[in-house]
Amino acid sequence: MLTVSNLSKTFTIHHLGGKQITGFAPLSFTVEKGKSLALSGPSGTGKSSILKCIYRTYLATTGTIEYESACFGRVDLAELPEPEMVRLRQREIGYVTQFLRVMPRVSARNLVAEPLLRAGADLETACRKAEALLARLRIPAELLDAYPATFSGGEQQRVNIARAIISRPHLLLLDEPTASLDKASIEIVVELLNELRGKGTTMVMIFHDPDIMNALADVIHHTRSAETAAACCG
Amino acid sequence: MIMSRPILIANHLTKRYGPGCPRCRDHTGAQHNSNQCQACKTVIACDNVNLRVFPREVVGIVGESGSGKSTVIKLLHFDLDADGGEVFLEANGKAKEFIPAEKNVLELSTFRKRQLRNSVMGIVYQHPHLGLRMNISAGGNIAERLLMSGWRHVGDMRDRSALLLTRTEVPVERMDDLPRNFSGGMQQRVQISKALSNEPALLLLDEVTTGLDVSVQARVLDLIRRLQQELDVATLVVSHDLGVIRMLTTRTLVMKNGQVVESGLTDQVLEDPQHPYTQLLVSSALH
Amino acid sequence: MVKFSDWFDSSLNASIHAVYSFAFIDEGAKREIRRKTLKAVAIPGYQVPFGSRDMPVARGWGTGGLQLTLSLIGTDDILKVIDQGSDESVNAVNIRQFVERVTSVQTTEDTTRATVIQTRHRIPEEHLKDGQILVFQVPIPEPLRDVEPSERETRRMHAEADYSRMWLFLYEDIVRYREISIGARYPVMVNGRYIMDPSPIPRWDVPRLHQADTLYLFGAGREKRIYAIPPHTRVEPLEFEDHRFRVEDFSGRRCTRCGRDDTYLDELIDDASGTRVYTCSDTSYCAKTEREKAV
Repeated sequence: MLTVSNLSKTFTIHHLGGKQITGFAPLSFTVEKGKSLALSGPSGTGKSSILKCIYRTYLATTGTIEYESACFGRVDLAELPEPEMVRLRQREIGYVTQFLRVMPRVSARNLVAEPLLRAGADLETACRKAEALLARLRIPAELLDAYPATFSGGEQQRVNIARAIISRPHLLLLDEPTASLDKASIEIVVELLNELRGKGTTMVMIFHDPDIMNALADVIHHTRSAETAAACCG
Repeated sequence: MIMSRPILIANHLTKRYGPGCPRCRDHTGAQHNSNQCQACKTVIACDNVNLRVFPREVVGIVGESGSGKSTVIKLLHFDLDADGGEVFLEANGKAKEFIPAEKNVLELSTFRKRQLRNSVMGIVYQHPHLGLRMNISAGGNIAERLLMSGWRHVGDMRDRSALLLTRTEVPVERMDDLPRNFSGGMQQRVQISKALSNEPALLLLDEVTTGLDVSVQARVLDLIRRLQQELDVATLVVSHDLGVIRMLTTRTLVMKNGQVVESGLTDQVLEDPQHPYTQLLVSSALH
Repeated sequence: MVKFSDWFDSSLNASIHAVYSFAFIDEGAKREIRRKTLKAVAIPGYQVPFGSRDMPVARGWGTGGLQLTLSLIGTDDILKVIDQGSDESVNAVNIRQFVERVTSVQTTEDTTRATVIQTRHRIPEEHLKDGQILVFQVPIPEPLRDVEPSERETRRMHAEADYSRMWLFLYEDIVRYREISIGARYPVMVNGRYIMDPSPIPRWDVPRLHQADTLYLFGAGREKRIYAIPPHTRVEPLEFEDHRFRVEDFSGRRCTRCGRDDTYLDELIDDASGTRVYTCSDTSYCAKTEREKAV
């Protein structure tokens, strides 16, 4: 489903005279369809950057990201033309972080329903599904019409998760989406994600909490800092 | 799945003010931080810009004043004549009869250009007085575009105007008032109504929220986003405001001194900018 | 004030043709005007610029129409001149006498007899036939002038048939007054191409521009424009599907002189009684009707 080969990221900071900052050292891994892979390693080893490279928020410096796409067949996400990448984001690839980065002044219900609408669902169905999912994530019904920007951190995260999983993406990238959730909420999220995995969604994830990681991950890939990687391989 | 054809393709779009000379390229552009040729004093407003917009897509052009971003929109809307390049437009409706898809529309007669513009494009300018006639009623302003497209029934035009004004949250009872008596935000809403009146396939937004109060800006942006979702119209958004670009667009081009210095998915341009100028732009933005 | 005809008599006496060309204008100028007239006929509704000459009448007093008449008229023509439908107004009389003096052609007040009719602001009531020419005096030839002050821009608008602003003007009129408030100078679309100013004729006369048997020529001396509607040309007043063009409504009224109820009527206040009375605007037709009734 997803094969990452020799992927690395280096940032060039021009106003510092072209200073090079390593995001992460070259790495390779493969995730089978319906399986989940956890990235694990110390802070600063570029775990989040890896997910951003797969999602194309960062441009890869080296390497390929081969992805088995339903829309376009086998593609390299590092090279795929932007309009196609946009299409994949709308149809196949979900990405969720602990930060709610959504439009201001859009209600929670509409926010969560939007991916379904974009995929062609009618408004009523999309809203009904959004409500059901938010209810399952224990978002109080009276908040459905409120703007998530005003929600608590935990509520925002749950809205965020709902938005990412409602359209059942083929590939889901998770970057600590449960960072500030209470235990009960985390259990629900883990349950939802496991259901999703059971239905064939492939996942690449970052969870610091080993319990969550163990509950969700089929494979664990250990990331290393650039220095370690250089010392080991160079 | 095969991607649909772009609704708009612009290749090597160029606009200059002055005679131009062989050395213009050596003196202008982002790396020279100038758009004026030292040799012949020609100002290169827009140099070799390439652009594609797919159906239902929202593409942004970001840059500072004088970067040439508004020039691009004015060239595409035929408000200015290009000095070079070609533009292909997927014509719809009536325009389809006389404009084949492989025709460079910059070569059309002014008459055909206007027909094409009327049937395919809608534009919202930064300054409402560019897009609206201030001494003609709000409804009349919308009707003008319909009249251009051959509407000849006053009642139908008023119904359509009322619908559009409702959609853009302008009180319908103000339909017969003059826009000059409207607030800036409401003038922009009327402009948006006018731009959408002929159901354009391509909407051009030129700094539409610049100069509005922050809360009014937010409402206009919300409106554009909502209409964007409802109408599925392909949109080109020009703004110097990264917040507007982030909120509205999926892909972005960064312009400086008349040239496109970088383009990519909007979140990539904002989070992993490649060009020194984009890095400066992003790091200077207030968050 | 010295009357024009008196001056003419004293300064030129009988040997007028020895001093001036036939029909006053020199032959070179006539040829230019005829060429422009032919062009105008070839492009119905299009305003052709021409070198408007000085006339012994001030600009704005019918010099455009006069130059057309003088360039067209031949010795066997019969001329009629009207001003707002009347053969007897000072302007009509002066122009008629002038043309008579410089051409020696016959003149008439009978519409059916005339071969060339010069008119200000009316079309005669009687049917105009093939072979007759109606020459209009035009004050403002540009129909778009009210919506666009720039000549350069109005020319562009005509060239590109960009008439939405004119339509918008009519739309706004309806929004403001519930109907199109234009009285005279009602804009018409000629041959589906050019919007044309029919000169300040009342709406009553506009339908008679459509598919007429007669050649209509329009001359604007001050603005230096000639335009034309050839016979059997499509001439449509601008109208909306739900706000149709209408002519003036005289229902229930009739001419107090001849009794007709099917002509364009002038409204007068009777000095003696202070009441409104109506008379035919076309005075010669009114008189003819009276004569026929008397017989």
